[in-house]
Amino acid sequence: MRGRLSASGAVLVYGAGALILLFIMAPLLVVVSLSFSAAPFAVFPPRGFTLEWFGRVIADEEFQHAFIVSVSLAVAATAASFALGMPAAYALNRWKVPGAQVMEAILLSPQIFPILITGLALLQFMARAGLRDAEMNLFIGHVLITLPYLVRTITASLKLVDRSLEEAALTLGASPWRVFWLVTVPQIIPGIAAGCLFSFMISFDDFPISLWLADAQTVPLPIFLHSSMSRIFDPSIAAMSTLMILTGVLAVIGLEKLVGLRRAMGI
Amino acid sequence: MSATALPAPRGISLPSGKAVASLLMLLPGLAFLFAFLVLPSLVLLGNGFMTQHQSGDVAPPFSLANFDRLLFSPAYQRTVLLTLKVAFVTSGITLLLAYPLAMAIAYARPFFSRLTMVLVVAPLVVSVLVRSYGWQLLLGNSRTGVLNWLLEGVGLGVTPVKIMYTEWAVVVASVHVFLPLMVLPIATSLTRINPAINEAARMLGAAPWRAFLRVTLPLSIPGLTAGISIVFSLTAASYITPAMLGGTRGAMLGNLLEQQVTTAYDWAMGGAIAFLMVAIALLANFGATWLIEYRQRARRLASGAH
Amino acid sequence: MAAQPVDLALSGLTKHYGRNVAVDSVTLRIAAGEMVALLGPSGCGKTTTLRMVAGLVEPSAGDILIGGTPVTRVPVHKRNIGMLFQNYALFPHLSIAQNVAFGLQMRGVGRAETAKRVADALALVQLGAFADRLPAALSGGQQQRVALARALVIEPTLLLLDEPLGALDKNLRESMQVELRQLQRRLGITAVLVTHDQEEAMTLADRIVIMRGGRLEQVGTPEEIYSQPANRFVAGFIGAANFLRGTVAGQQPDGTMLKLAGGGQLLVPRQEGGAPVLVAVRPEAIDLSPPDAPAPPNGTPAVVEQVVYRGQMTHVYMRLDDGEPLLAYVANRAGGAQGASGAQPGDRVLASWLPAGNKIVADQ
Repeated sequence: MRGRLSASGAVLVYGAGALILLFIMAPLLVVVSLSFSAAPFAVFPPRGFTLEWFGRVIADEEFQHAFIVSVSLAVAATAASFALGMPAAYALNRWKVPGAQVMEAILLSPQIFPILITGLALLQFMARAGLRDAEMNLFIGHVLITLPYLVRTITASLKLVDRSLEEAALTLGASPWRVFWLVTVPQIIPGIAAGCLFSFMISFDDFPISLWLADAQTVPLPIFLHSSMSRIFDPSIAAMSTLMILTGVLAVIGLEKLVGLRRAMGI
Repeated sequence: MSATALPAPRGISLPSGKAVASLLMLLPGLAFLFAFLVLPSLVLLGNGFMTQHQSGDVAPPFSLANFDRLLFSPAYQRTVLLTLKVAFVTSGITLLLAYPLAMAIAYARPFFSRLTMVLVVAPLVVSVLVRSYGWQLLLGNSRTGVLNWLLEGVGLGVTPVKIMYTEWAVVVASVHVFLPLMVLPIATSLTRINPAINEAARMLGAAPWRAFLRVTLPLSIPGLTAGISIVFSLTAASYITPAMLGGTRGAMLGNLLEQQVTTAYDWAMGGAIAFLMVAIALLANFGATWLIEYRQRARRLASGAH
Repeated sequence: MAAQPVDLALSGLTKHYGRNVAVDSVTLRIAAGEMVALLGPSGCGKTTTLRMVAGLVEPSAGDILIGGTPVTRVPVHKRNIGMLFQNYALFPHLSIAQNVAFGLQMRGVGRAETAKRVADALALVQLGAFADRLPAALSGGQQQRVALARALVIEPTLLLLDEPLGALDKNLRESMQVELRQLQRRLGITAVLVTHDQEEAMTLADRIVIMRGGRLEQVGTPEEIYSQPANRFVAGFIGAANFLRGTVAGQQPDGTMLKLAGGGQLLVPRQEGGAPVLVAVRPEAIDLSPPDAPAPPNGTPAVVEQVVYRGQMTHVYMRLDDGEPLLAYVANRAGGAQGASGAQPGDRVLASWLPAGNKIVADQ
């Protein structure tokens, strides 16, 4: 192995790394541990062991509704972002479009724009236009934050496609359309699936967009969780948080299985 | 074969099928962003240059009064400076913590590299809300906070540590929230350095730490700059972390913005705050890009190759 | 620019990776001022051996002695060895002059002296005019010359070369080989070269070390290795060789007569016993004559399968009557292919050569 760390350097780097990883895991572990606590308040250290809080949370109709809202919102936003982002990314990468760099920068711009302001601007704009349908507004807002992620992952996948395979298929007599479906698509599918999964999580976890655009009827899970925090002080908050952590863990496993995390994160 | 040369192709060609198709493929995405991001943002940011009327309307006369108040009245100015300070300190601490992790991802054996990668990325797909809640539990000011409980357990907790509801709680949680976004670009930079370059430095007599300072560190600057700009701009624009951990002492621009439009109904002031937040984000991002390109251009010029 | 030449000795040098043995008890002595090439197919352990000498890989067992002093436990940065890497490994963020100055700065050499020595080193590789450029602005050949200047300026005890010319195109590679050889001779520095290119090894090295499976197969001058290969592997790896298997047919005053299954006969130095004998014959040793010529005392009948004109030589691919292949290089002295006697595919020919062309090799 071509390790680039000397022995003492390795001890230093990995030792520090282990401590920092502990720092990364600590708040999540505290939340998870409290979700099993039999004490009536969410106070450390947890006492006893119970699954009662999970039972209560899952049986709560408001929680169920918020969960369904969040999942459907995330699916719809990801699907719409894919529909908008896939053709755009393909056109930008494969054909010489004048001003491609500028257009790509615009498509990626919501990533550097403060999300809080993306949501507030949309709220004000829709209100002035008299469009007060919270479901529709949430959908539009979530497309805004997921679109750049999909454009980026699709672009990365397209850049990894082996162009000589496409050329080989063309010389073997396949039409460009069949080349796209039979050669290009199979190569980019894992990357795109990873992008969609990541986009789903971006939407599912979002707080600052939903903060502005949710109303009393349409409450995504993070908004529900936040409002519960100021009303409820028992470990059911920790249980809800644990369920959200679990969703994230499943997503990470999915990403690792689909393309490997390093590739999914562009390293 | 014709004996006469063909006329040279003109600069402008008729739109080909591909040009039309690519336009059709790009248009929906661009139109969506224009309608729901660019236009609404221009309206919101424009508010900042107008006046809030008692009727609730934001309308002319145009003025810079909102910005004057935001930047120079003590109450607002404190929040602006606190936001910059928190973003600055968070970026710095994040950088220090991210570098060893990035090195572990880039240099460790495959198993440890993957493990580190999973543990670093996992929090990225856990809602900031949940992570901030975790820090609320950890940093609680009384003996029920995990940190104070631990300190008491080892006999150090004579007086409980009270950092909850200060900017320091916000910094700790922000470091946690944005750490992955610093680790990833640095790890990318490090993996792109040819291992032989470091070996060459060692063969030429550089001790490990000198090889790191003279070779690895300078070559990872693009990743460092990208990470700092991302973390700085996102910290400066954060809302939920200071809302849950900062209290009134640790309130940042995002909280001030929320308060202006939901409690004070001052959309003109809100527009000015939004303008400042966008300006900070864009400056951090474009400033970093510009800095990297400027360095490269300066070096190319100095090297005499154009 | 080089210090007093010193010798290098490897004693029982071994490297395991888990259960895999990359380098298996290599013992070798390289004289002061000598240039030795480690040659072998990929995975033969030549690179690992070089990296152990450099200090970049820690040996599992054995010792490395430079000028009689063991350096096995000395860390890389204290060994004072110069190294050329395959992809040059110049520091991309430092100018040419800063690259060359790097090693001197690590040694705490003063500013004025550093400047002078950098200028001398760059003059040595004829790149003085490029001092302020970045590596990316230079061609591959120029970059490798900078790397050479950078390696030599520290007055190393040894110069290690890891496939140094592999990334260059053929013409540049050949001129760099000559340049490198002259410089190494002039400075009298002890050098170890790793390559998989036999021509490069023969051009550059005083002695060649053939490696396979982590072990040394043969050590010798290029001529010894080529003309007296120790075994079938060495004969096949250096240059082309025909392998003929014969059985002892009778003893003669000047040697032993071997009979080939395909009908030919070979006169080889005296062999005892009845075991089959493996004989290597270089293609350029073989002459072709028409089938009605008198049967040669040392040769075999064959059928021509393919004739390939290659400029200086014509390669004639033949098959013996028992199906074994035979290849002959026939020199084209006047430029045309007449040297091959106009042999055509399908023709029967007599292939013959002097008995001195028979090299008995171990079958391994």
